[in-house]
Amino acid sequence: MISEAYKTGNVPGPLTAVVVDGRTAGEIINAAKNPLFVVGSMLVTEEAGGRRLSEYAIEIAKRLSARGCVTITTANAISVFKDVKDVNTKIMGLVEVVDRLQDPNWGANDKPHDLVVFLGIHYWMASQGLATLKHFAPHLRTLTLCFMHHPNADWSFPNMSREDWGKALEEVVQTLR
Amino acid sequence: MKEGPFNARLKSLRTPNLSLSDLEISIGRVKRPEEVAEGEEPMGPTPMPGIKDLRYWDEILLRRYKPFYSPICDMCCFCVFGKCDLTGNKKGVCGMDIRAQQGRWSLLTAVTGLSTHFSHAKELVEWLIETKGPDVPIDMGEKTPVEAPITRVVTGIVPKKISDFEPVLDYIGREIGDLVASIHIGQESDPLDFESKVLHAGMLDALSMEIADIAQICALDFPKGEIEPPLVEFGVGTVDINKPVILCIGHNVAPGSEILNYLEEKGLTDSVEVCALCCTAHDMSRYRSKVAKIVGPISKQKKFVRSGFADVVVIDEQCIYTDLQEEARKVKAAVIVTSPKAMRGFPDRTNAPTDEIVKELLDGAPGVLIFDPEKVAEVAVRVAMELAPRRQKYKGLPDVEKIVSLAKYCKHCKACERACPNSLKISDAMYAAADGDLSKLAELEDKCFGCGKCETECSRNIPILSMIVKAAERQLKEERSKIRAGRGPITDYEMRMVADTWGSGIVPGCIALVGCANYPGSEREVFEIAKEFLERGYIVVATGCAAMAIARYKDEDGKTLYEKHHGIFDAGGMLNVGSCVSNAHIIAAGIRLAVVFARRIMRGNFAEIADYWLSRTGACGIVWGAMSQKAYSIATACNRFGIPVILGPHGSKYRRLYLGRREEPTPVYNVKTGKRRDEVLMPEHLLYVAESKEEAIVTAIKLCMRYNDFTEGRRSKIRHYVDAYFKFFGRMPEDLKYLVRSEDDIPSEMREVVLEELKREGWEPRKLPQQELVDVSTLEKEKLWTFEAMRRGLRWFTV
Repeated sequence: MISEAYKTGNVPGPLTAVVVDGRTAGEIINAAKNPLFVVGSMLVTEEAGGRRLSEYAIEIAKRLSARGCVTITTANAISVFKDVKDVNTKIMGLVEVVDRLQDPNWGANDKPHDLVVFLGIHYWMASQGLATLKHFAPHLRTLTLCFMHHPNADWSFPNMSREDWGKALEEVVQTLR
Repeated sequence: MKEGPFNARLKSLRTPNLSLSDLEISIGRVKRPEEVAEGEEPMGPTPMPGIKDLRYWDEILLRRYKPFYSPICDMCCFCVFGKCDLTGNKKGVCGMDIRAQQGRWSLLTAVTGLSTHFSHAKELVEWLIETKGPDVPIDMGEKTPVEAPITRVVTGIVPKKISDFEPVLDYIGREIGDLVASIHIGQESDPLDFESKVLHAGMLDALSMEIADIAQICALDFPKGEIEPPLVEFGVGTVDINKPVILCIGHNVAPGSEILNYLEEKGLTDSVEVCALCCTAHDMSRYRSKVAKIVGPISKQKKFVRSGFADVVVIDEQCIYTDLQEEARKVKAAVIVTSPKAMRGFPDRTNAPTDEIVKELLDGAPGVLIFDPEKVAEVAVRVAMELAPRRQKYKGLPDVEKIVSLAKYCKHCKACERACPNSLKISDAMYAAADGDLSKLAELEDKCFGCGKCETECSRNIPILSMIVKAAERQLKEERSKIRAGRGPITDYEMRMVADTWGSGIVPGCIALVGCANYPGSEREVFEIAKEFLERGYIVVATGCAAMAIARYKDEDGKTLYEKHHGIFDAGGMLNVGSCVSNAHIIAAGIRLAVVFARRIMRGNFAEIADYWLSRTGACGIVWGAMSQKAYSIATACNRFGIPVILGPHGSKYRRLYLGRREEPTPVYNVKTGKRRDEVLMPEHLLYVAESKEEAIVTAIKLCMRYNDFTEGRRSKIRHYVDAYFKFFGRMPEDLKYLVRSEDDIPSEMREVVLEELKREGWEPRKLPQQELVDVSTLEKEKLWTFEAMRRGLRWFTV
């Protein structure tokens, strides 16, 4: 299934994202050997399904940390992890992490990644970062968990209301090992 | 004291082990100042460089800061071979791949920005020569003997009169031809060579801006580096709409200045209100600070015109909504367009009798095109005076009752939110408005760019922008504050005073807030960024839309930052440099520093000057509302000069950044010994995009660090970096091991926690640069023209 980009003018080319639901997104993350979770500035400001977006991000980050995976916080997203334990975070600018991800040998935990998961990043920065990875990081697959559909990802949620977004994120959390 | 080929004067020098003041060093015999004519400044290696001549410098930059591409389109539709899909590693029919295609787009964008400034400069110089004569002296005031640093550095020319800029403009025109030719199918193919040309375009852009601003400063007697230029009235609320109102929009001061002249000549200054938007507003207020009022930046264009305040709208050039004349027509305002670059379909009435043109406009003609600024002035004033009573400020805004009914009509499909550049929460505001609460609509105004894209997407034709403007009417009318008139150059005198502290890093940096108004959130963020740096003792300089955004807000004491802070180029100074073209003075400031602090040769000596900027001078540009091609070429200009720039999130759509990697050591060279050593890359990036205001602030602090910071300087910068990190992110930065060279770099009050962090990261002290030397990081010794000139005993400096 395909979807229209959230920003209707964002029509990059013939290769566009496949739409996934929360459960499928969770399974994609489960299937990855070393997924990298990248979260952005919207964690500080956004809500999903009546909860703070950061609460979902922390849940996902905790599950991934239990698998030895890293969560990269971009912009000021680290501030929501201030008192959170059991989460392996690193701070980098979005473009810094995307730049390094073009190198198939680079890993935030010193191991190469096979999946990058975006959540809560400014729409256009996320879109442009995903475009870089689409073109210049063929060793990676990309997944976004935002309520805005991203055509430059391999997999993306469709455009959805914040209420439905909360439900989809809840499904992701429930599906994660 | 005997004078020698090496002369240096330091007001003070402090290291952990040494403290000196009023230090003068002079080695060997040199010519006395009276023996040396100004023209004897040696000419460097690259006067008027062509597109290949500074490729070696660009290669140095691009090895350190590799182009980072993020395509916004996977296709190429540039020629009729295609359309070609370039996704991944695919090549187009012509052989071009996606990386080279991004390089080409980058060049196209930069050349567009360059050409716009070049054309602006050329038009201004030609007009000023025609009206003021070719011999207008290039006199930037006694405190600024180096009149045109960028012109000297790039071309080697020392302009004495305004017509001396003509050969410089000819040179830029020739280079633009070569740059544009490189874009053609079957020409350039290598991304790095594209980028070298992009950097060349940037440098020429800086040159064009300098010419434009110096020409208007000298010919129209704008402020010449005044530290306290007059305060100018700013904001929608300052416009007296009970008078006939003429609104000028754009970037070319010619029509606006003639309107002000005409009013003076006719004794009508008090009878007609003259206000302006965008850089024309800056420049008109530099011309007549007590008369011309600044309404605001581009985000106010449609909002102001729709409000119906203006009786006559005069459009010149650049960054003017291309449907603005339609907006004016809706409120029955007369439109006069004035630039051959933006004729907008109107008939050319330049040679028609003035009475006839006035009658046409009063009879309801949609607009006229007049190329003669004097005629524009007479027509604008006469039409405004006759039309104002007839229009009685016709308004294009719905009343409150209508807003409520329109909001009820909204079907909440959110097409407007998806179309909005900032995805403003319009639907929520509509729900509230339908219940009679307009406050949420009013709140959107501050974040609204005023483009009206929301309206074009609305299937029910709801005038969303008009509703926002009406809901915010009271706050717009109360928008009254003060902005310093654009001061023009940073003077050589100021540079002398700040050279030792800025050059050594003790003044932690200069933050340049420049560019457009395409902010990712509230316009207020620019004010907040400026305030943060001023309170930290940085020098804050601003131009264009950003300078206006800063003026719009007041602090807790009810003062704008221009009223609160001094206007000197020194710690804690808040400077409005001027319009877009005044950005040249910011780049020139670093050139002046290189001259004052290190006696670098300017003329035709681009790479050595740029190297000084890169390795010594702590500064960072922030283009928080990046939107235009000009903003891209200005940023690129800074980059070729070695100045890092941070873009706001929308800047990611420019498709290209220059990113470094802190973990990859890079070579630096000692200027005296030529000895190479590896160092942490610094500044870390040359062109970066930040996602949030907080990220922009901490990154700018970091990007002000330089190889050659004195210990005190680096210590001060580390202090701000750690402090800002805790303030915004609540924790210690993770990259301190790259920034702290020795324990002396650590501020005493945070020594324990920083050392603990460094220990955890496996940090080891590194060798400091030898501080008595200027450590030229990127050039081979034989290319150091300044030192060769010193060796030969020349003395060329005039400041």
